[in-house]
Amino acid sequence: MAETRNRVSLTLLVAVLVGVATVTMVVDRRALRDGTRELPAWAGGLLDAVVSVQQVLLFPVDFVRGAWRRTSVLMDVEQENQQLRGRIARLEEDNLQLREALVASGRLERIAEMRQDLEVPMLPAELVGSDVSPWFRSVLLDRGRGDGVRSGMPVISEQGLAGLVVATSGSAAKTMLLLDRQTAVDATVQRSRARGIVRGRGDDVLLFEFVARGSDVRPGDIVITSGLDGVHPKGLRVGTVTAVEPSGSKLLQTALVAPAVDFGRLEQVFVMLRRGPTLELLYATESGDEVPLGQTAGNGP
Amino acid sequence: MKLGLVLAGVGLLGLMANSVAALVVPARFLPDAGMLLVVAVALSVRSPVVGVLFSVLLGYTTDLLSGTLLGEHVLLRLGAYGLARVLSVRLNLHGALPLALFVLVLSVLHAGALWVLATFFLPGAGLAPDVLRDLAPHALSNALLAPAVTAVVAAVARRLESDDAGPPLRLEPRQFSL
Repeated sequence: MAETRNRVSLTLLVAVLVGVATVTMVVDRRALRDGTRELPAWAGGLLDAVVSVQQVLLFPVDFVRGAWRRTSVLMDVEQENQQLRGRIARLEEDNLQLREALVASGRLERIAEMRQDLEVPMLPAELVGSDVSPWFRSVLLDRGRGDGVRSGMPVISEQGLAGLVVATSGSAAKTMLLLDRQTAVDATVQRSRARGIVRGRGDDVLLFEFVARGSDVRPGDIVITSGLDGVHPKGLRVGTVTAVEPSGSKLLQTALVAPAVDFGRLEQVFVMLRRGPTLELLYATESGDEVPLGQTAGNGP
Repeated sequence: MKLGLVLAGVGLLGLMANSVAALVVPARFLPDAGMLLVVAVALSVRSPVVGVLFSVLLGYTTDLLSGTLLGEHVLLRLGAYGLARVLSVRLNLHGALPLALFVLVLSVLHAGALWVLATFFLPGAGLAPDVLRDLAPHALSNALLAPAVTAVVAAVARRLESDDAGPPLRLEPRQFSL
């Protein structure tokens, strides 16, 4: 009798837990789609606790990684120094030419005035954990709601676009990397201005989908964000086209893109805390309210 | 009670170590600490309530450390726990080889179940095109580590289950006197 009662109680417990898990999945999915995903208090608290322990666990990893990096940097420093000197010289020359052109067109002063408005505040953040599942590509950052980070904010590194914040707690943020299959970014080929969507494939390569007719995309082309998805500012480097697949008779053509960011060595990133004023204006609604960051695109289909 | 708390601590620490290690080593070469611990608990801990609650805790924490929806890994962990528990009644999973084989098959089922859930709840998400490249090393590392994880959890469970039970009761038969 007691055994039967225990079995029934256990079955009920499992049924309730499965029901609760399914409901949280549905609610979370809706929040992700609407771009309003903030973790519930209990999950946020758990994530905060986990991240604070992970920061301690990260010390030995950082120590070993730092020692390895210093050694390899010392080995490459001379060659890199020469390359950088050459690059600085080329950039100085380009800069001079651009200044000349701007002065000639009388726009330099206006641009200098605009610069302050256009600067987007960036928050440096450290990676404290990576996705435990090999099927998803996300990372945990050590900055959260307390630092002003919200869902839908783009995350970049000095190499280019890295991903998008998809959930936050008080002191941590979960960021979906560009490589994840849930990611989609409106992008443009810098050379030909061909527009399309960059999607993650779940591995180390990105997929660039564009309309085959009239688009000029070649291997070696640099792909940047178009700024038209309402999430990512225009001009962030996404990657370089490595191969273009033949379209055949299909309307959409695809190209493989090597990401600009070396995700295997990603340690520090910057969270863009707001969009530039040009984008704010572009995505303001008729009533004057701004569309919440991340609502229009960027979280996948 | 003590067993449940210790297992929760060990489980959370295992997941955190897994997440930090994934910063250095690609996740496909790392074992799924959550799944291994859930299987180990299913085979070593007598109380099914402790096992079910442990699976739910690890499931939610895995979802927080992964790109999945909140609740997705809870269903997977509960499924893994139930399967291990039911099969352990019919098959002997306590040897290293049967356990490794079981975990190998479970890893493949786990990937399939994740794909089904992702297809249903997050269209476009899920497994990469070259899934075998990721699945093979991941399943193999799970299978290789499963016997060791189960042995450790079994040792902890043996120790703490006897503690939780308290000292053996020594009740003297009542003596009635008229």
